[in-house]
Amino acid sequence: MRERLERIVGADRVLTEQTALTEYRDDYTEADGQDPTAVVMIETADELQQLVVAAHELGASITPRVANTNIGGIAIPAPGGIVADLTRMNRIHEVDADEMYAVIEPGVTQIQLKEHLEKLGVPLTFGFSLGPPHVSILANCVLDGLTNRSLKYGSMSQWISGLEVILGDGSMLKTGSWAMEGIPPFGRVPMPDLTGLFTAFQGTTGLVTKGVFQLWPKHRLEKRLFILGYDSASVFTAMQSLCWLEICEDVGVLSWPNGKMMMGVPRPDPVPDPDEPKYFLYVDLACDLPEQMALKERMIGTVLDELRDQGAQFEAPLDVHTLLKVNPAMGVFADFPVDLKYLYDHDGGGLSWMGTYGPISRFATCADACSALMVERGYPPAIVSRPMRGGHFGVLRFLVTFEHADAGERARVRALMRVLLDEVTGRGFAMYKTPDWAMDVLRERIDPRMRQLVREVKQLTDPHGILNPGKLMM
Amino acid sequence: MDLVRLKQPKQQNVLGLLMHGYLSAALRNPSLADRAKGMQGNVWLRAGPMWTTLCFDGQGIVVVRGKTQERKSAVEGDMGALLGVVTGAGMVGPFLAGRIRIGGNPLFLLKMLPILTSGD
Repeated sequence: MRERLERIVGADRVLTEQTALTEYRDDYTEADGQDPTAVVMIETADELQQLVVAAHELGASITPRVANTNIGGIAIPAPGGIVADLTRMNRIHEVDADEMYAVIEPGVTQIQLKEHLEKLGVPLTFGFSLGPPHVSILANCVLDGLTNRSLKYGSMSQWISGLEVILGDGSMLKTGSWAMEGIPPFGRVPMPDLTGLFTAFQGTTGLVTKGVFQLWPKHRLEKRLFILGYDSASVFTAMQSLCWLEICEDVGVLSWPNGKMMMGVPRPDPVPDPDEPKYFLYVDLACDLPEQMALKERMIGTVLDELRDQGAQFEAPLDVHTLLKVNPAMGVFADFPVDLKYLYDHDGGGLSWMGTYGPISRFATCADACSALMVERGYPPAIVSRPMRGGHFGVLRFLVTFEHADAGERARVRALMRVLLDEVTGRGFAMYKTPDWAMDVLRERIDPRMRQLVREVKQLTDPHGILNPGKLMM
Repeated sequence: MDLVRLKQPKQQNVLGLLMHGYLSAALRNPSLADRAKGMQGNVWLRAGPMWTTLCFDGQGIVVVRGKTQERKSAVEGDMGALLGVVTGAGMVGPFLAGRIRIGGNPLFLLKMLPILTSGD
């Protein structure tokens, strides 16, 4: 195998030594690791195309990987498989400031594109995930994750106007308007929208080599406010009400353990001080005139006052820079891309989650039920949430940090995730970036004809079954 | 030994953690560190319904969750007003507006004030 792979990229970009492979065997989660047979450092689409052909000849599978910060086990290779490390495919081919898009490769990171736009001096920005600055933008798009602008513009698959993809037979295609010769990549219209064949399929239908990523106007004034609340019903009602104002760039909710972890307590006691705020509601505002900002803040104040009149308890909004002056540790949440090291760079090293999309009206009861399950098992109920796409749905995530090296704790986390999955699913929430163990639970819930159709799509796009096997829900 | 210590960090509330971070930065100033080391007694702080105590023990400050049995002074207010004090909004305005209440030994509080307002 090594010789065949060296013919594609050269000897120095093929890793087969055990110590090197170990780096690619697992992720932060409790999922069991698996050594790949080889890792290939890909630099061009042509090399990736050749790798797909070679993998078929060798009878090996391919798992694409960039930063390995996925927390669903999706980038863990299949037995005997090859990891295509796409870190070096990090070119920004084009930024069209007039049409508001960037054509980027899968290795382009959040911080890289941010700095590139700043260097160009264009008044454009994009959405940042809560992942570290070095995570791949396109990976988050094809896995249908979210960003701090998902309230306005939806989950990340909707930020893609077109993809360039290598299929499992080694052929390449483009989706969206740029599939037509001479037509720029302005959108997924008007042809049949095949971009969806490669999003939320978890890398099992094609390997993305380029994406047309949508950019959005950057306004002159920005502000982030924190509003401390004392119970889930009030806080999630406020989140929905603020979302419906349609004046916020982002509205989100962090539960109290996040604040404590941010301020240097890696694993807070699961039971909080009964008198302390249980949630941090944060609101991002952007506009061009001070008068607009003042009006927005007044409107937020009115919403909070109305809720207080109904019995809700909130502290007055605090500017993030005030919090930062009080405690510099809050600085990690002051500017995007954030680097929430407390989640992944702690002594235990383990991070897992139950990440769900679901109906916002059920957030408070679901948060309470799942928090109780976490506390019962000795874990502080770390919750991160926000409304998506104008409030048509939202994201509700339950996070757990743990000792990754401790097999007993990995088993406890696995058991916790299983009960959380049952709880959220029973309450109408759907897990996203779904790991394989959860697929086994959820599979039977899916419409059988849809499952069959998805399998047929998979067969059509990956006839030899070599693209990230075992990671598709169907 | 750290000049500012947290008692039972895992059980500490948000106010205690905020104040721990704030005071740790403040006492990097040698004159404020000397001032803190020259004080003995407890100060209760309340933000909204949440309490924390700053225990001046002659070696620095221990941040304790809730209220201790004894206190020399107390500062109470809503979260915004209390954090405003430490970030430079001043104490007089919020005090006159009824957003901040002070109690106990005023001399002790006056001695502590430069530490509490060094974020200005």
